[in-house]
Amino acid sequence: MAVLWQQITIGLILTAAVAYLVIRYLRRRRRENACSRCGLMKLARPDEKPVKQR
Amino acid sequence: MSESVDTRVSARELTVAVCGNPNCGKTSLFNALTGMRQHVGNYPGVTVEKTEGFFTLPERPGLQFRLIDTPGSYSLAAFSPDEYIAAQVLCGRMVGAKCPDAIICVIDAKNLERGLYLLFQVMQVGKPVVVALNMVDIAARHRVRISPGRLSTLLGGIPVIPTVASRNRGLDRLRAELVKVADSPRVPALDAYGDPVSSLVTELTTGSNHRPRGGGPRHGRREHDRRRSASHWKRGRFAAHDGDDRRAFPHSHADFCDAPRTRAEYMRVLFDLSGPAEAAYVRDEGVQGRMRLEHCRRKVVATYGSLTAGETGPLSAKANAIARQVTHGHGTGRVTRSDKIDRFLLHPLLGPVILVALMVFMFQAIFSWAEPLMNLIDGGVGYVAASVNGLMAPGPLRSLLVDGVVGGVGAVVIFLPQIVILILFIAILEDSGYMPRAAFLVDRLFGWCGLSGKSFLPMLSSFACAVPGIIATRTIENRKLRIMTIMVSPLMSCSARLPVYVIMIAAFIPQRTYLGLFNSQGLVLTGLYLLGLVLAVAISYVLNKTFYRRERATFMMDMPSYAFPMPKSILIRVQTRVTSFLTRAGTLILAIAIVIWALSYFPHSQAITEQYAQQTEILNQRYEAEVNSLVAQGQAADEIQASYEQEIARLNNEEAGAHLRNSYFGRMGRFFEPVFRPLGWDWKITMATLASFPAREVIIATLGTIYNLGTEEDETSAPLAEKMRQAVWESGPRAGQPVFTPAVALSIMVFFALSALCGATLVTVKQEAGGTIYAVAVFVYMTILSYVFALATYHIGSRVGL
Repeated sequence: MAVLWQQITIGLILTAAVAYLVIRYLRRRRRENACSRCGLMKLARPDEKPVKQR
Repeated sequence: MSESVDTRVSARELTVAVCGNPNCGKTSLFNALTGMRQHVGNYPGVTVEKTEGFFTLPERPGLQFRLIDTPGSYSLAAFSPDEYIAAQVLCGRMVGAKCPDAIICVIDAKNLERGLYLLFQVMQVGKPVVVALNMVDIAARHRVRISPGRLSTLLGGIPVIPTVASRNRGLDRLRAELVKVADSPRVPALDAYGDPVSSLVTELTTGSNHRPRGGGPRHGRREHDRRRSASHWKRGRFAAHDGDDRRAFPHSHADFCDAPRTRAEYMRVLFDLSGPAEAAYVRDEGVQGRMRLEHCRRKVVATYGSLTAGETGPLSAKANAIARQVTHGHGTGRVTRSDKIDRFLLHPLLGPVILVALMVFMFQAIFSWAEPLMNLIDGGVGYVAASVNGLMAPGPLRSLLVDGVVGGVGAVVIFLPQIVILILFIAILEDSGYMPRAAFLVDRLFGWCGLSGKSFLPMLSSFACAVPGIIATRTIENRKLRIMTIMVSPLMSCSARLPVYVIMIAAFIPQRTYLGLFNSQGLVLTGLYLLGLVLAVAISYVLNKTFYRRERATFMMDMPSYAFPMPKSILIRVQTRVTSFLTRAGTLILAIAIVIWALSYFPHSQAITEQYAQQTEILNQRYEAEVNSLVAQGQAADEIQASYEQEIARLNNEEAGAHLRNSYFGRMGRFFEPVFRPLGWDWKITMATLASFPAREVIIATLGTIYNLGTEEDETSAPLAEKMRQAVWESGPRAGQPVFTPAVALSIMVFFALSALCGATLVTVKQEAGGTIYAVAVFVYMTILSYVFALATYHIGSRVGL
């Protein structure tokens, strides 16, 4: 029973990891710039912009 | 002397574009107003893309300002992609950017005349303009004082606000002016061109049959053109112009907007011979338009001698006249502190020596300063692994957490201190103003190979990450030079390669000190960084002699004044990098580590488990029998106990190794092993390298997982470097010999220094160079180069006994 529970958990984690990698790859293919590595040069998208209130 | 026009925004949002010369503080102003953290640096060409931010004011609720930061430009006549972006944004033609309602023109107070030249062109755009006279503090230090009121009067009444953006000075007045612009927008009336240019442009304007886009039958075609032109721009099409590579921007004017051409755009039609504006105009206006244009150009040439003189002459004269009237002091001709420092740092002999010394110092520091922090993180990772081991019963889930997650991600996180030190150094060099000097020195040393100093700035930026480095090539006007720079920039060792270097050097390069100053590990690291630079120069030379023949170009760049790096700016840069590194470790590296663990763990053959269970059982029975016998004879069983534990550990390790060899990952590894065996690599190194294509750091995570799975974990997890030192060949002629020798470690480092193992870099090469062929070419040549150099390194290293 314990082994089965562990196998289900591992299956879920593995599925989530693979799904993350696939979605990340597909999103990046569409995006104009693929840079996420360094944050040295952020090309901000409209939905990411903070609004500063003085 | 301003005329009021009805450009008041109906919505409660005012779009304001920020423009100005390179390195005049546009991004600092943008950051100060919006609270964003865009990358700023003390050299021209840091911003090469438009960026948007927002801010609101409590005194004007409901009114939101949308600020668009643009790359620096000296003129609206775009010669490089970054200048083109700036011009397109200002004229409201940029795909994906709103047409600005107003423009903030940032002028460096030290270089007023040059700033005014651009301002005069910007005033032709037909939008309200506010001038931010920036860096007045540095100008004052140079004993240059400017009267803003007088300047405003001479500019026809447009507001001139003195600011120091990096210290938030003058921003309240600037905000107040923006509110006034929102309430009563006024377009500047001053026309610095004067006659006959002004009247000729009016002639072009009135003769034009271009009409604003009004929907109807052309709408579909325009939308198609708009998309097609945008994709052409991404592909980066250039065309020859007067013997130089000048961009022939393939846009028709009508492709991008509803509004008619501004006077600024008609100026481009008139002055940019064979330029994109002319092509668009002729396309829209037909034969009559071409004749009209030729007529106007003949008049300009008759008056000024050439088209260039027709534009620059009146604007420069006007800028000079105004600057003389408003400037007090004697800034020019005085020897400044920066000049005095440059006598040493740019000295023909001393300069390169200081540059190399700085690099060596940086890499020495990466090793020596980071060690205590690394040990701390290493201890933390080991503690977490031991805790999970203690809390959970043996099984696949514990293996996933300990070997996959902690072993994989933990192995990468340990290198955070080194990355922080590297970014810290690069940020200090950038903010102090040394970076363009370094480019100048490198240009002097390596200019013969076909690269210019403008290429070296993106290449030096690539030491942090190749992606922004490649994007920074947008500042290069010459297309051939730009392509060459894009092709060689990935050879610079980026920060993602650092963990690979550090772990190999720390584990396999003995620590020796030379001359009491330099340690061998720091010198190897410096050598790896120089290897990329030297090969980039050699490849540029080959490209210059074959595909991209071009004469050596003169390197001209503004040398900014030296400035004390602002701690806040440095900290923001480091914090951004740390956040990015940790986010990456917690997402991409984690996901890959989990997948690699699964591939390395399964199918976890029951037959192997049972086989070793039987052997363990036999060993247990023999041990019990021997202990009983010894006890019966009244002797101590300590010696047997130790031998028994050794045997059990050996069996456990053998079992773990057998499972790993039998895993999916092991099978794939043995399939690919023959390809990399000539480099001295076993299947584990081979697979770790192949798995690191999405991100270079993954090799560390993969080795961490493989060596955790390949050895039976005990309570005190040994560091990865120690496990790598203990690894031996499992079979073949070298069975039992160590896998990792200094020669193998060097061959791995050289392979990583020169290989194109980075998906993001290849995608960026494709986008910026304008074709998949360039990405393929980079991948192929770098892969061949890395293999050949790693092969040579291994064999030479082995011959000399490493």
